[in-house]
Amino acid sequence: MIINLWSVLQWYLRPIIKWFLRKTTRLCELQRICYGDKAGAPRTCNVERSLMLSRTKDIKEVISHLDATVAEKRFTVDNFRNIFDPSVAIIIRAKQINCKLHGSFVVSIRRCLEQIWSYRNLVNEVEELRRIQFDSNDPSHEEKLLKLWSLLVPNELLESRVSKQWQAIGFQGDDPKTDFRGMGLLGLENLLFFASEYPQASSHVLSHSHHPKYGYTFAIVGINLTSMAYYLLKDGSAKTYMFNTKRYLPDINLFHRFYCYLFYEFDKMWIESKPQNIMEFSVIFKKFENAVRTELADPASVFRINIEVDTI
Amino acid sequence: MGNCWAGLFRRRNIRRHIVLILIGLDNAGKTKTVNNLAGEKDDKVLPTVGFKAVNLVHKDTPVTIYDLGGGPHFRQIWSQYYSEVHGVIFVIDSSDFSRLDECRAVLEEVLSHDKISGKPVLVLANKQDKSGALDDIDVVEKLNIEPLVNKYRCPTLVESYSAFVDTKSKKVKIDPGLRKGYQWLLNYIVRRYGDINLRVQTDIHADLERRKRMLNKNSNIASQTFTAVSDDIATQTGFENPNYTVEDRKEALDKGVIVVKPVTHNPNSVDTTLTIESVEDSDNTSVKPKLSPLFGRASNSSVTETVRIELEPRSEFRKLSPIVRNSGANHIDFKNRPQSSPTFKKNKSSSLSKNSSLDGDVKIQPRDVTTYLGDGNRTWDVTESKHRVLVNDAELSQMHREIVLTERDYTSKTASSEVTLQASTLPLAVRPASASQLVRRQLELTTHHKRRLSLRYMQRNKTSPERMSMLVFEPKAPRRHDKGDFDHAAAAN
Repeated sequence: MIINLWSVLQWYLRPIIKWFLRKTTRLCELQRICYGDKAGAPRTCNVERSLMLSRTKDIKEVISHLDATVAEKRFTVDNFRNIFDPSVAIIIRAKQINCKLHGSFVVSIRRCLEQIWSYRNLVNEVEELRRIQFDSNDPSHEEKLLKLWSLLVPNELLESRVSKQWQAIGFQGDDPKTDFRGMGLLGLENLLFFASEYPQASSHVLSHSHHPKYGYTFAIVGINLTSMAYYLLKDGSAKTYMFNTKRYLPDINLFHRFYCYLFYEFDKMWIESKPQNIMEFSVIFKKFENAVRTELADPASVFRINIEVDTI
Repeated sequence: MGNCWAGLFRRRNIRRHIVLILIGLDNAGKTKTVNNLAGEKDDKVLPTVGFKAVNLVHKDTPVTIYDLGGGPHFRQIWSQYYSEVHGVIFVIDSSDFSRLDECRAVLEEVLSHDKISGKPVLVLANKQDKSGALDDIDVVEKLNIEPLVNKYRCPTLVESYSAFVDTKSKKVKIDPGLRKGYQWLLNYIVRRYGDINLRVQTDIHADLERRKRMLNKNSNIASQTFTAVSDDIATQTGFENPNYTVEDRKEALDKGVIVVKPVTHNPNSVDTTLTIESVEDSDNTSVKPKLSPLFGRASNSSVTETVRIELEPRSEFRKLSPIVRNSGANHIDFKNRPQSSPTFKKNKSSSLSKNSSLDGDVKIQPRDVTTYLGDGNRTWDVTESKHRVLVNDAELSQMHREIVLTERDYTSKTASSEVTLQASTLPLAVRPASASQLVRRQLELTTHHKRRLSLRYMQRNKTSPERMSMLVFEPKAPRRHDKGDFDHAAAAN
């Protein structure tokens, strides 16, 4: 009831406040955000909120146009010029901004738009990858699986495709394909990226998973973490992480990096909490998820794997 | 007539909580099954790591299902959950022929576990939607289920179904096979709830107690500190004082509860050394059984709290539970208990016989005596006991707990009535002579233990010199009585 009343009030009050601020500062809301907030997640998230709440017809059209490009998969990096130049121009015209006076605004709003729609594109991409089931008949899938083995266990040769050896890296049965179930190829891609991009970290984590007392099943815990990363991405909590990385736009590799961070941190937390046996997994996993969510709720948080600790 | 109404009324008010365990090989479809039962539609099922507890409600009865991971890494941990479950759901992937042998081995291992034998089992032949899947008859044949469940006396139902959910349909439909099996299992448990729950509670207490003992063993074996800790065991787990009198029982006939009250012991009265020399127990110390949060609370109950075990009084109480009837297996799983050891009995009988002869206040009805003895003869398998223990007072009280439970069994058969064990603060050493009679009889059966026992007594003598008189008395006691002698002794008391 109270929330309902508040939202109605906000609906009417917001334009009034915005009008007042516009008159006093002579800047539109987007400008105020771009100048006032720090670059990264705070700025981009606020710009996104502002755009979504906008009732200007032109802006609404820009949003739907950008969404359509994402849906139609025309959203590629070399296509950015074609996509964003007209969008930024429309926004500037609609908000009556003087380009010569506000050159820095143009740059930052463009960056924000890129980030926002890259993220939406990424959600689609990840969802697509998740839907692909692991298929033993597909040679590329098989190749990835064998590559994963050779990266994680370089010293040992896999005897056959269906082998008890898979249990050493934490798959359940003799054939890993059944374990990919809900997360499909995304789980495999995640593991593969972790093993190939962070070989030290992954071997460190893998050796932890063989701990006689606090050991766990590496691969299927990894798949559970994939699902966690997936849900964080889907409900928008991962935006903080994605927008705070300066060098990259949100893309599938950044998602993989996010996953690697989660895996590394989870391993740390698992070993620290000294579980009595693997049955405590669900509790610790939940605790870990809550910790990550609170961390992500703070827009200033930046995740980085501290590999330095690892290489000892 | 009035009894009838009272009975009905009581039955309505009984708080039941059914705990089921859901197991099977990995990728059999366990998590999907439980999602199906809960009415959830989630196509993103992940391999379960560890376990997941799902709470459901069946006709006002709360049902908790432990969905355990099926991977080989988790199978060894399954057994930690066995003691607290009322029934088992075993899921089979009936389209995966290559793993049927593995499946059979796992199923046999589960059923043969002494905490599972006798409990109802629902076997689900999953994945019927796949082409070439075995149907329920094939599954029974291939997995050799019939001789298996007969051997371990598990009431079993095999159902074929498919956990595959059509993602297009909006409403989640429970497969008729699954629903039928689930209903059967729950109805079976509800009908025999008193019986099964009695066993479950007993097992849980045994587990708790064993865990406590292990903790103590790990932390400190020194006898001085141990007395204090052992006091804790008794109070926290709520083992009752056996010094109830007949009047108390009559009073409580209509309450429908066993009131178990913790007792404070006189630490000096009983020996304080504890030695557990069983291989099994020392194995367990490394992997401590973890009970679910559901029952974990029991260990935190304070001294003032009254632990209540409510049981459904049933007239068919006695004829159920194949474990009880079975002369080979024990009613309350004495096999794995250190206190079933002859040392313990001998130890106890000594103190008992002494005390009971001294204390004139203890009242025993001859009928009770025969009950105890009858039960003792049947259920205490002395040859099984490999544990050699010098027991502390907590264990003594645990011993009495079991006796009391058996006793309760007996009364519910005859009068469908209840027992209330009145708490009292009498020193623990004072207890009915009937128990000591029982122990003596057990001792007669185990003559080959005698030498070791006497050695034990020598050792103990060093720690507690006031036992001297008893020791002199003790070795003669078993020899003096032969079969049937107990009647006479009881009358004398």
